[in-house]
Amino acid sequence: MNRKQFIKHSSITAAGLLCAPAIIGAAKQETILGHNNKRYRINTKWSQLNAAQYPVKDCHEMVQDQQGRIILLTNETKNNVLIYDKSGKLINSWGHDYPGAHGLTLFSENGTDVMFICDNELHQVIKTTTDGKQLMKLNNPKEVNAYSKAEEYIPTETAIAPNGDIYVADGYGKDFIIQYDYKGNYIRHFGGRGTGDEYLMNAHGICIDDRDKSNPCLVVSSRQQNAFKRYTLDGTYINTIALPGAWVCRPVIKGDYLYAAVLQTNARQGEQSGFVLILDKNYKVVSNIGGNLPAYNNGLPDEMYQTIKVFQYPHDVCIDDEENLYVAQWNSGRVYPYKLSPVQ
Amino acid sequence: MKRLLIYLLFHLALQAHSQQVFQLATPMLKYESAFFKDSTSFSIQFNQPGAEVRYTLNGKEPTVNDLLYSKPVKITKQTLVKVKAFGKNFLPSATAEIEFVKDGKAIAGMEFSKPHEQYSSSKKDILFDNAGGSLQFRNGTWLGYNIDTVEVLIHLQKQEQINTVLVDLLQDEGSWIFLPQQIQLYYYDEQQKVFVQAADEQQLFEQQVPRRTVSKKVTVKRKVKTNKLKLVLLPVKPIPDWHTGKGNHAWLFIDEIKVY
Repeated sequence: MNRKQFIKHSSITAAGLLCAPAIIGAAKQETILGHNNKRYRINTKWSQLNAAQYPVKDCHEMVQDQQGRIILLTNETKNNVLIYDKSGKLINSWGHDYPGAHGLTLFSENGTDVMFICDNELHQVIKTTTDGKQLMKLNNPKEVNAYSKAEEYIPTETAIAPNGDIYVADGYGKDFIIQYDYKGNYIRHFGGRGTGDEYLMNAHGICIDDRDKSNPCLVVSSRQQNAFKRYTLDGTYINTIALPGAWVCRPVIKGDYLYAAVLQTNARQGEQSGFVLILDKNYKVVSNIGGNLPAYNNGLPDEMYQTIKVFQYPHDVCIDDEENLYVAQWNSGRVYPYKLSPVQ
Repeated sequence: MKRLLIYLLFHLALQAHSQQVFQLATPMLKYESAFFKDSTSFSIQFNQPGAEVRYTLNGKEPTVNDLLYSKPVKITKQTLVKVKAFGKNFLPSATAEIEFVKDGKAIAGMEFSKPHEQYSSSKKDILFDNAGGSLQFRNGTWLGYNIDTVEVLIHLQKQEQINTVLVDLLQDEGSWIFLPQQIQLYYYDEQQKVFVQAADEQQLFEQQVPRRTVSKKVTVKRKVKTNKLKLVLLPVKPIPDWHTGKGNHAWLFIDEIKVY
């Protein structure tokens, strides 16, 4: 090696070594998603499944059962239900009979977990055990005169009260909430479409909010109106939680917080503009995962929008016993759910 | 030494690879209307810690060295605005754009083909009211058509020398709204008492583009003087094979016409 070559080589190496710590430092800067005390690290490779063996179509909803297992509902009839452990390993799979599998709610019935599946194509709610045995079916409610044929009833979600009462949200049908007792006897219906605040437009999700133990209520999505609407357990309208811009799928309560997947935003419909939002006990937005820093003006949130393309069309969020989130997505290239772990 | 360097770079690459990098979403451009008489302004919505928005007013693709957005920007002349978000730990966003269009020659009135009743308007000046440029086709500023030929007769307030006619169109192919496949412009010849063709432009549609408004400028072949113009727009028919609506009649949406 002559002198000229030597200098050339050594200067490249020196530059490389000098730059190295800076590059390593930059690479370690990972993306933390969300805001305030609800910030997360994401793992998009959580599911360890082979798509050829255990395919999914739309990943519609997820819940965690008493045993800590994560249960996913998809409209793929090769395996409508995939049951994972928290690390993303498959424990069990079942279900070939639910082509329109959409809503999934878990209820502890006298200590035993049971599932309520809403099927958009069967126009039915099906109650099953967690290993797939059918226990009950609810068809279109004859007591509601608005339905002239079974196909007009397209249930998207259920919520089960502590006494076993079943609330069905007809979110793709006529937007009624239909209340039954635990045996499936019709009690009443409310909501539906109209111009007053008490009506709904795309009643896509429903849950029982028991954070205030003395005043439990129903929280119902009015997705196309970008809002949640609250009702008493007997269907009296309480108020509206406006969430400008956000197509909120279903409300999910865990601890002091309410979580919801936002399918897309108003300004960017059909453009994979979804994110996940988190409300505190006072229904105030505290964090948008993949969305804008929450801001309020005169008590109303500013219009919300996606800022990071983490999700395409998130459809549901499940929170496990360790505060991790699992996000299931609709129409997003058949992706398996993502897992997000809290950052302290 | 060289091996050491390769080894080092390899591990750096590995480390960078294991780190998932997300793309920023396209910033939201906010404005009253894309059309204005004297001046207008726009703002940008994008509140993401660790990211910033850069913009240009000359139609060029924004870079990290372009104007940093901090407050609403005033526009006083015809301007193509382009906007893009950047952040150290993110891939840059796609570019959002809007062309702000200044008012043209004085219009006395316009007569247009009957729009589809769902996308109609009772406003006689809907096509020259300086309101529009929205991406929401249901917002009341747009006229929507699914017929074979759309005609607009433009009455100017006086005889004028004509150079260009601008027609603002919506391109939202996901909603089956296409640009016209052909645009023809005619001027009224006072002596001959006939409409004479002044321009004829065709358009090809090979792939889907993101939803946007297009301020299509039709330039006359030779200079003409007139007080009456006729614009003929031919919607796409049928929708091409690459689209889910293939074989069907496309929609055409117009919200504003200017004459220069």
